[in-house]
Amino acid sequence: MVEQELIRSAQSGDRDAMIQLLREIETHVYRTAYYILGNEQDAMDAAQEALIRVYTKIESFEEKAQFKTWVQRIVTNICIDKFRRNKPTVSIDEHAMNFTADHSVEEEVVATYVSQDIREAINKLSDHYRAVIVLRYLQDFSYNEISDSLGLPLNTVKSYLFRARQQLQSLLQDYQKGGVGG
Amino acid sequence: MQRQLDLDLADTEQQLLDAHLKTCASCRVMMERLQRLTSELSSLPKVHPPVSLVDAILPKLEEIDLARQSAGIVGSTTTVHSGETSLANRRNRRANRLSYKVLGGVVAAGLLLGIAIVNLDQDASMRVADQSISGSSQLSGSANITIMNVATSSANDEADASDDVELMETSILEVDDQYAEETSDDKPVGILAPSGEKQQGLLGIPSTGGDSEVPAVGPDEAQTEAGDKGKIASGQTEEWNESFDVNLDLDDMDSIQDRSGASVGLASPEGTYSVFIENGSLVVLDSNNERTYVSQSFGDAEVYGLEWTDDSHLIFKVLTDEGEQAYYIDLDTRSEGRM
Repeated sequence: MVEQELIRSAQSGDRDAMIQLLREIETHVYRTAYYILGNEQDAMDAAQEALIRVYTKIESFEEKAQFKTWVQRIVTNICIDKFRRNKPTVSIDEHAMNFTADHSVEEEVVATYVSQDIREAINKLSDHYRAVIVLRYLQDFSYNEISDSLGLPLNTVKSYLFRARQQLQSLLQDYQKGGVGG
Repeated sequence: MQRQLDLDLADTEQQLLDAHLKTCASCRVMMERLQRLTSELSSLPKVHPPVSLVDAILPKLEEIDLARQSAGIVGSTTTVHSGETSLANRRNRRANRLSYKVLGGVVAAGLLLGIAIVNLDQDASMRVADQSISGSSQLSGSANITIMNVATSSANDEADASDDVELMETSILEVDDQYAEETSDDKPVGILAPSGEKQQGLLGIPSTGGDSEVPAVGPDEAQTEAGDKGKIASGQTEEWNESFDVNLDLDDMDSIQDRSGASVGLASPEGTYSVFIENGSLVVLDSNNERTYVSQSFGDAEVYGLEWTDDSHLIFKVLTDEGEQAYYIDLDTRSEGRM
């Protein structure tokens, strides 16, 4: 959770605070971009664009809002725009192989193996369904937080989430049956 | 069932669901699938960016900062297009009650240098005037703005020149306290006094070699401006480059542009030095406005991120084909090098 103080300092022109703020959010921004766009390169581009936008628009963030939802709104908007501009590449890249200090090799390998089907399934969802799933499971957002981020009514969020899950489980069934082509 | 996955059921609702699942096999199957799905979704790798994204965008953020500073100074020049605007800008500037000391100092210094130029032939003088004008900003020692919009608009000369003379007059007249010794109210005017040739010599910039490119900042140029921030133009740049660094708060000032296209001088925190870029090198002036240090030449490479870390230490970056390289200049030891 990013502290209010840091945000205020950044808003008042403290550049160091601003840079620190960006560093604190960059992983979250990237993560959302990665799962919405489905590949590392697009995610890097979109995430950088989102961070720059956070930088330029920080003054417009209102304290009464939640910073994380504001940031996720920015990145999801950029991703959805990008998604619509480019044909999404349904590629499961080797991202899980980019080991960080936090993960063991074994964990990464297992995770890759297990998540491949599900990631392919996510890539098949429409952009808004995908966004809802990503915010719910990668960012652990509540219905309300998703609603704030995507600018969708609460009931629409629930509806999207439920339908997305239905589609995913259906796709996974198909994968398991071996019937789904690329 | 879906809500249950999100722990969104009230106790009574949960009980109802449990009861139903006991009796309905198909729902049980669906519930299991959904639960498995949820478990897999929750287990998705928490990916991290392969490289630091913030580090990757730092240069861009600096560009944005510089563009903001410049936009703050030139006011609404981003919407400026043509000569008439620069004229309006000049008028606005006259009305501005800001830092005339600076402007005046800049102008006065420019004029002093201009005198020296007067005897040169036209082309040469235009070129030198470019540089001298940008140099003159240094002379002010405090602010960095260089110049005025002289001849920003069209290549046209007499009219512009006289406007500029007027402008200079105004500015100069306000300078007295700082530059009384160097210039008098009359002198600069006298110098500028339209002897056509002298004017050309000093303000000859207009044509910058006959190029009538409209330097005023239009939307495109505003972008270029941001992009060109800090770019070194080796003095003879035809177009107005809006890039410059300013220490003062000059929000009301607009259209102050460096004719040569080079980054305008930047004063050190205590005003001991000021630095500007000329012909690909960083030139440092001391408090007597004399060249005290000239760095190696970076040729056509883009120099940006120019910053005083203290009163005698300068850092900047150079972008070459090989990539970005940070440099320092230490004016205490008169040394420079890569960082």
